[in-house]
Amino acid sequence: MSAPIVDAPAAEIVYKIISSDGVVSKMSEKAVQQSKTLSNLIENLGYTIENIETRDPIPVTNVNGKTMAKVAEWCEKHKADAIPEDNMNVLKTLTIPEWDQKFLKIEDEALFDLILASNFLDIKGLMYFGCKTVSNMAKGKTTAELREIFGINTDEQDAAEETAQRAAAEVA
Amino acid sequence: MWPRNDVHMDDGSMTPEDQEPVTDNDMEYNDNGEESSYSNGSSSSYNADKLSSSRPLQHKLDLSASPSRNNDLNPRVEHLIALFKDLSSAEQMDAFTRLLQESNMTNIRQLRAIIEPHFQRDFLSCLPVELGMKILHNLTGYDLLKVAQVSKNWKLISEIDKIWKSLGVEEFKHHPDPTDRVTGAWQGTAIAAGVTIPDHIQPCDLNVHRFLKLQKFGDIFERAADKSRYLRADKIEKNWNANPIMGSAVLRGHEDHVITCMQIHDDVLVTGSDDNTLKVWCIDKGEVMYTLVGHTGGVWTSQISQCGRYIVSGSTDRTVKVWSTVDGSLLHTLQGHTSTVRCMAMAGSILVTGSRDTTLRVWDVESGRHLATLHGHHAAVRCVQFDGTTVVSGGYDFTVKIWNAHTGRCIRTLTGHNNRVYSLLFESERSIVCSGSLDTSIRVWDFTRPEGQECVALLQGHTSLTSGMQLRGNILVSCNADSHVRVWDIHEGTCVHMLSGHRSAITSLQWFGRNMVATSSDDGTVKLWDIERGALIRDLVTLDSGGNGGCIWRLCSTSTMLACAVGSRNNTEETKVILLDFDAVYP
Repeated sequence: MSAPIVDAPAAEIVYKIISSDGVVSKMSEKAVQQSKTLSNLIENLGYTIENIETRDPIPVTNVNGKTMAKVAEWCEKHKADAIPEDNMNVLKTLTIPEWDQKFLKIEDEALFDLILASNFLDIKGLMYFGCKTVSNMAKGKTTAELREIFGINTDEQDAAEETAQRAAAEVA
Repeated sequence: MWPRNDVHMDDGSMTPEDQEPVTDNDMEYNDNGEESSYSNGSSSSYNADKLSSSRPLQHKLDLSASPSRNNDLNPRVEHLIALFKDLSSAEQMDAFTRLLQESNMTNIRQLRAIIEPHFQRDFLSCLPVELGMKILHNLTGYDLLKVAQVSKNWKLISEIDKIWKSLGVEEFKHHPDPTDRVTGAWQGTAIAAGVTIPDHIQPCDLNVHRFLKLQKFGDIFERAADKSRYLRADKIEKNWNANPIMGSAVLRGHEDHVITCMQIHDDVLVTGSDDNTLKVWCIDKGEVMYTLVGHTGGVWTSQISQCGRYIVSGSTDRTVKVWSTVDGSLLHTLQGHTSTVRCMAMAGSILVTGSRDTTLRVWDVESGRHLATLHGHHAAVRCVQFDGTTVVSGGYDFTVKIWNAHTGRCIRTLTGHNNRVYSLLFESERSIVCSGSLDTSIRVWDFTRPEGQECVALLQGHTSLTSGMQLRGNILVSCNADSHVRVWDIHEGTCVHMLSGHRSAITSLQWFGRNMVATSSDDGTVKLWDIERGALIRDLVTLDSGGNGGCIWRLCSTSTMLACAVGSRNNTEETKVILLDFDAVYP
């Protein structure tokens, strides 16, 4: 990064990120630092304050636009936060702040995509909150409740369905 | 799906009906056409075109359809779906709403079952394993057991050792490997005329259980060792709390005498007696290994060194003797005390002994050398604790003294008790001392405080002598000659629970597991308590002679075994040690 102009405050860089489906999201420089993958990508591809305006958006081919928008929103909210230590014990003592609890109160499909994205983009804070959210869905539940919450058949039901499909295939 | 199949069957089986449905479809189609023209007045020409093009197509299908196709498709449903596809998203939503209003609850429930999976995700099966592990990392062992029952995939992920290893110390309590406890005295049981063990397994079930006990490492251990460890620890806890007692034994010795002291180290049990001897027993084999002969007076106190190599005993003959656990040989006789050796404590190979001669002496048991004499008490020393540097002693002079073991200097004298001090606890890390006295009170001291201000709590409520105490964190458990167990918060200085049930003096106490305390009593019983709920869990041993002289003098325990020293002062009960087994195998 170049030195800021002496007489004017440095403008913060805003990066454009293009997702797998062609949707463009924006993230500030500070927000991007929450993601080790994005930070490395920006550095390796040579995006700078001088050339950012003239270059194509940063390509992230593993994440769709809807999910990337959520990621960007989370990173902007937490851009001033320290990145949590890479330590399993952090997870045990972690409590999810209220804003994040609301942010993560989304459908399973969206939460699933968000956790995958946080893993790919190496956003530890979001990954921990996402995993903790799923943990909290499972905590203190009976086996039957777990199946109902996560939409999982018993192995017997799966076996019966497979048998039925095989029988149907033979008839056809 | 099923109702639709049903309709199909009806359709296919009635040839005369084939014509009527066609007629019905035509009528319904006209109705829908009318509706369409109402809701889309501006595009009536388009609808008219649709109508004219659809009609011939439907007609063609009707004429050319084979009987099997007729069975597969319900023309009315197909028409409905075709119309539905032509609707806008908003129109579809309106149609859904109105269809639901026309549906019965059975169909609505089936509809929910079809829809719900669209909103659910099987996270553990679909996420990368390392993320699944992060999710499971937050769960308790109990939760993990439930997770394992959900599906094959969940079971595989839930059994990854790293997840179980990460459980906290509270959950992942380590026990020594499973024991045999089927030979020697274990071949019988402790159940006998005059001895009741209320929840003991029936004799006819013992042989099967003994066989199963020897299968020490099961299937789960082979594929998920740490889960197996968790399950075993959980089983052991249940064995103490609720399960039938699956094994017991009687160690007979010290006939017609009192067992005055008892210690356990790993698999070694040492009992001392006023018959002038100590016996060294192998717990798992259920047999005596050595009888330590040499004292010329009753043995009143003993210790096993932390390394397990030395047994030390104190006697009315004024001597301290050091014995080898390897072969029971006498290594040293330590002389110097001028009266009964009444109490002792060890740290490493350094021993501190307290005596009726009012002094404490410091020894090295390896070399047999006398290192220091601590003068200061004005009456018998009754109890002592030692952390390797600091000695804490309580005496019949009503005081508790703090000493430096190396210099022999008395650092502090704690005054406040107005009768003899009988029991002590010392927690070195916090400089906390708890003392129990015949004045009925328990005092909690912090001797780093300014002189005269050391007493941080005065615990009152007991009405007699406190015979034993144990402290964890801020919770102190005390047992007393008044027949009660009390649970205290030493930070608040309050009594949290009073546990009643014994009918005479409590002689000993053992705290194991998270919240379980066992107590022995002059009333001839051993009771197990839950000190968190403040309730009796169950009686473990009951002597018929209780109340007539039979008593339980002392308890010792490991995490899987309880030893009870039994006897009487009037020969109504033979002297023996009853062992109860609470062990379990790795599933």
